[in-house]
Amino acid sequence: MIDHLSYSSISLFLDCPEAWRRKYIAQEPVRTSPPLVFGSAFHNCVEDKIANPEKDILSIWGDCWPAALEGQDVYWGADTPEQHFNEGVRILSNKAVLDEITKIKPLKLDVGTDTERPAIEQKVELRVPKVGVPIIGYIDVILEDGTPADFKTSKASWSDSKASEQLQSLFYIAALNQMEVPVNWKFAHLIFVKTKEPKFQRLEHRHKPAELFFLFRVIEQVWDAIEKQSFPLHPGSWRCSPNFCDFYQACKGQYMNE
Amino acid sequence: MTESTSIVTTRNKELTPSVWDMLKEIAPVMHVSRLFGVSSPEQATAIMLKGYELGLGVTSSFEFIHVIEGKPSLSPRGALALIQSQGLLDGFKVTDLRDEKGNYIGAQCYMKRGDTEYTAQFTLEDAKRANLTEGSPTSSGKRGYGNWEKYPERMCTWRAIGFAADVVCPDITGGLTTYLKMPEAFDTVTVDAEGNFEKVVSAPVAAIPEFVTPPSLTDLLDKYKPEQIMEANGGKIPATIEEVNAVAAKLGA
Repeated sequence: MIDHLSYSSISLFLDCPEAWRRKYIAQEPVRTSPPLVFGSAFHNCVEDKIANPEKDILSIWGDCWPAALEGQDVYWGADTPEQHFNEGVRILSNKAVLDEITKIKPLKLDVGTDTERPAIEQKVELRVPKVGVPIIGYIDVILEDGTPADFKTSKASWSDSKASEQLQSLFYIAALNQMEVPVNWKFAHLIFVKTKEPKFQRLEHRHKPAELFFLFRVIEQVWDAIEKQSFPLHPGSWRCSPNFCDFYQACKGQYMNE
Repeated sequence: MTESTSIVTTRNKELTPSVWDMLKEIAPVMHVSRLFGVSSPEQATAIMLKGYELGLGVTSSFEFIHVIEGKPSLSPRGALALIQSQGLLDGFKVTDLRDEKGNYIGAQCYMKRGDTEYTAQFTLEDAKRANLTEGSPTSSGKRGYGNWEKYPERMCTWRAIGFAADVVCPDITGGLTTYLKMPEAFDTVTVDAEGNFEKVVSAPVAAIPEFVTPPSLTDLLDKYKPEQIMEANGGKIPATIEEVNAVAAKLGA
């Protein structure tokens, strides 16, 4: 029984409703990919550094990497865990990247009280009319000026348009708006690029109220399809490949292998 | 409707010894396979026989005919499948019923076949009155978590469809075949002691109170700017149907 949705769940449904069904209804087992586990560890490391600027970032990475691997069924393929650990060390040792991380200043919540804390990993809940469950998510960080932001790790640089078209931004802005948190209608993608010379990108965009209504329409339609148990295959999706879909072998793959 | 009602049926089948032998041969397989939810080969035979008389296929019979209180009965979904497969309806509409605040209260089904038209309603109130919402008692004595709690909207819809089908197409559904239990309790039709309809009322549609479907967020967007909608909701994007309705009322939609 589905008791909530999340941005990533909706995103998966939009990529392939059948993959969504297999993951969330049939609960078929999924394997974690190395980039996913790397992203998760890196993300935790950066958040920890922002919350505790006095800590040494490589020592944080030394804790975050094994913690991210714990309990995960990672499909390493030709990669090794050491290779990815060293990749983290390489990026976090880069002075330019480290300088950028230290410039990230989170908003402070409950200032002057015992519970004063940086706005990191803030849980948000969005409600959409006609959608029977809440959409739950966590904002990586809310910056000093009130801009919500999300950390990403990527093999290549993001284009400005790629960042501006992310539905995720709208989801967080809408959730904050519903929670009566003042929003400045901006969203920032903070991207760590794993190129030969590691890079940090800060891509910030301003959004309009009309975009939130578009997001709601998307979510309404996804929910409607879920309620009607309509889970068409989406072979044209980038996800429909043995490299990106855990269910490929049981789905399209069984026809292709004959 | 979202459910598939596309099945192929053949009417007026006679029961011949060869058909009877075939059903008896298939029944143990259906029972042993555990795929069709029957408790005995005899139950499987009865379901297939009922389905055969109605013109359903063997496996469709298990989908559309359920044993209720010891009798094989056609489900409302099966009734609609049979009716639709024969293309007999000149009009068919299912509408959600909502109160003035936009809260769901039940379903309404309109069917028209030639000169006979009928609109049946089934509300959550009706379901409560018929003790349908309590679930079934379990071995622990607690009430089970039934479909009426999980899918009240869908259940009301099918009840309304079943009632309308029983009135408009009793010949197709085989008479009192839908397992609606006591339709007379809801003042829709009069049923005699044998369970046959004494009187089928062709209710004038005008007599049915008109329910206005509340506007959706998309409807509001057709008339107002996003900023206006949010302003009417205290600066927030509406989160619930109630908030959408309140915004509509405030803006005069």
